[in-house]
Amino acid sequence: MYFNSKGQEENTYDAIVIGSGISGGWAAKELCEKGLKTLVLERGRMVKHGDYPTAMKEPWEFKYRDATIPAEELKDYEKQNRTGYTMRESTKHWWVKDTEHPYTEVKRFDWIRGYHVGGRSLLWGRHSYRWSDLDFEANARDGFGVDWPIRYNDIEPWYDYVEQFAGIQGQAEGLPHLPDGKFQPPMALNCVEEHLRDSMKQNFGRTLTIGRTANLTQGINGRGPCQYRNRCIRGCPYGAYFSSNAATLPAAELTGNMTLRPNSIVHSIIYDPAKKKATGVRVLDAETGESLEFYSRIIFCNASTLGTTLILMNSANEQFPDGLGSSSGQLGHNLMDHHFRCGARGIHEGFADRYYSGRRPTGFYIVRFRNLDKASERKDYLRGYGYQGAGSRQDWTAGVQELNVGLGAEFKSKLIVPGPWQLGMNAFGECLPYYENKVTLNKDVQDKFGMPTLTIDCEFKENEMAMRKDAMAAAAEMLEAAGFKDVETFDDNSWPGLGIHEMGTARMGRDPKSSVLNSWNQMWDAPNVFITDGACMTSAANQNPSLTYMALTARAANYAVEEMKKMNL
Amino acid sequence: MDRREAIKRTALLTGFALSGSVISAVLQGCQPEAKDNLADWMPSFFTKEDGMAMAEMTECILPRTDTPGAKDVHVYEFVDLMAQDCLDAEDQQKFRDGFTKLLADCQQANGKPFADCSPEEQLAFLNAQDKAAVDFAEANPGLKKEDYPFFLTFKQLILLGYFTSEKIGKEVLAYLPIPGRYEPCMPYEEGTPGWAL
Repeated sequence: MYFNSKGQEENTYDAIVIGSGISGGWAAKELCEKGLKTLVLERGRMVKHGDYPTAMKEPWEFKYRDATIPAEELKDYEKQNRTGYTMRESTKHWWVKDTEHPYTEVKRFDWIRGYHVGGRSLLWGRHSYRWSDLDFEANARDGFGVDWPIRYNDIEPWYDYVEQFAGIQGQAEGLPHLPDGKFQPPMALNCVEEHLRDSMKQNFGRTLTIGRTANLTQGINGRGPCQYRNRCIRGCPYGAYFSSNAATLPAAELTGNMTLRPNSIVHSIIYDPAKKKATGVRVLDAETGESLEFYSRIIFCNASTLGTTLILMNSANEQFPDGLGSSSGQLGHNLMDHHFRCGARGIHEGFADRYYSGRRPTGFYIVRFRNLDKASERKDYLRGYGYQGAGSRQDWTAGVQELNVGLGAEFKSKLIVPGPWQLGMNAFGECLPYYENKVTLNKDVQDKFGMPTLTIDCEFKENEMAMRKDAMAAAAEMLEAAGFKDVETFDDNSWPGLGIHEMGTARMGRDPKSSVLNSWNQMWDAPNVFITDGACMTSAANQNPSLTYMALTARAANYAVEEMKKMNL
Repeated sequence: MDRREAIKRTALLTGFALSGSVISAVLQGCQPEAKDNLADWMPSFFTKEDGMAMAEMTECILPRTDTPGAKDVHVYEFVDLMAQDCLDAEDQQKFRDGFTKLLADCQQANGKPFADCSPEEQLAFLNAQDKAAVDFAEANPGLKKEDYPFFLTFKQLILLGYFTSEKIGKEVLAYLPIPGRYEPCMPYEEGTPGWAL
């Protein structure tokens, strides 16, 4: 491919950030605020904060009542539709067409993507939990993967920093393995959830707390507090949940140092073997088809775990024939995601004179209680899981299969009023880093821009399966102990990718021979390239990862600028 | 103990005796006079004749009482639209086959077409179909989409069309578009409608 670059000077910046999602937005904010002229490249279209066309629509304002989209349209979204919640009239504009952006599955892998400014920061589940040394020491303890090059005390001040800007509501619990954060006031548990919390504490010594999420309970930085509509995934006109669009990109913009360029697909990173550094990036303009080059002193690669890895592999050169950052042989390997969609649910006959008002954009969180110490050690699997869940009163949907009063007037009147309380919990479990779970570059299948694509070969294994069994049984046991009736376990199957927490294909480590990045997310092979999206993760823990990406990004940006000042970069 | 085997999602409310007034409301719901503009309606997916029978079924399932019935909020149009636009060719065929069989089963059970049955016969027939479908689904947890009973798919579309309609959402259920706050545990008076959203 021939790149017809413009004048070098006008295309030169202090820093380039590839991607505008949750970590790219943070990189943009931090680098711009530290005075660097920063080019932010986003492969998808522009989405300005507030540009959320369905945010205020009610079900009856959608032709298909927001239940689905027409079968003909759905053909373009075969993989994006696998979540069961993405392809609706209110959200369909956020997801890529699989027909335009193909990938190849050796085993089922659900790669769920949104290509636009803000990326999946607009679409995320917002759960935000700190990791602890239980997580950072896990690989060293049991020998899976390599040791993390950092510990909790390295990242703790950065958690403090990003939480206060992002706005994380939560309840302090004083647990060493799920450290408390700088929280906004917590959202409340409802009565059946409080009942379960108290029962669990009393019977098992386990902790149920409000799901810690990036939803504001108090306005900050011009962003308003949550209005309890629970329509975050459509984009929030109040800016009440954290997204790049509502939070980090406006902050970067405010400095005057950011140039945001949408429709800019990064083809590859340019590497100069004489300097042993990257010098810039090659870009395809998605609208004009034009090929361009941009140059900078440092590059932050935040194109999402697999997007970043694709760019690195496509940046192969004579020194690094398998891709930039591939000298350890680890690039593309150790792909992880959380496994989930198993747990238990039940009905509670009490609290019939209680209800709630408002639609809370979070549920409860049950903190990991397995393999914490000798007393909680399991013989059947390593590591652990937490649960996310919620209690609510049944609504009309119970009429499909559960409500057994015969059809007709009584049926209708029962469906108009709230039914009994129900509560479900869904485990999110850690996946071990397996070398053989990997992606490779596929030049035979190209996307609509002629870019090579990925072949993904990833699966959950025995350790994850054993954990799921325990997670179901333990959930049912806790519900029964709390007096729930009709308790049933479920396992709806979990395929890698579906958690949308893909991690680990360019991991951090202590040794250039066995890792892609050092303890500052700096690439061993090209020290002015930083990777702070999910690709950098050395293990997966069981907590949702985005908060950790934010903290690692702010930490790496600070380090990069310090190194630039010292003329080391 | 294998919980998946042992624990079945059982009915929540059982043995509910229908009172006299409820029965008369049911019967009234199946009466032809609740027709609205149905006569002029031209279905897309269904034939006119099948569409008319389908519309009567929606009203039997969710009849007009002191709150609107399925026909009042045009649930039949929604069912027709969803079948026409949102099912792929294969699912459309299954849906068509399922509905044809439903009509044939009624003919077999009552010796006459659904449209010619009395309101009591119509409701009894639909209840028998419903029970068989629910029993099948309960006995076979984790059913694949293609094995899910037609009647439950049909019923699901009817409930969706009814409860997400503007009239039911705003005037029958409790509608609070922008709550502004969350009250986790407020007093609830029995019989008060649940939230629309």
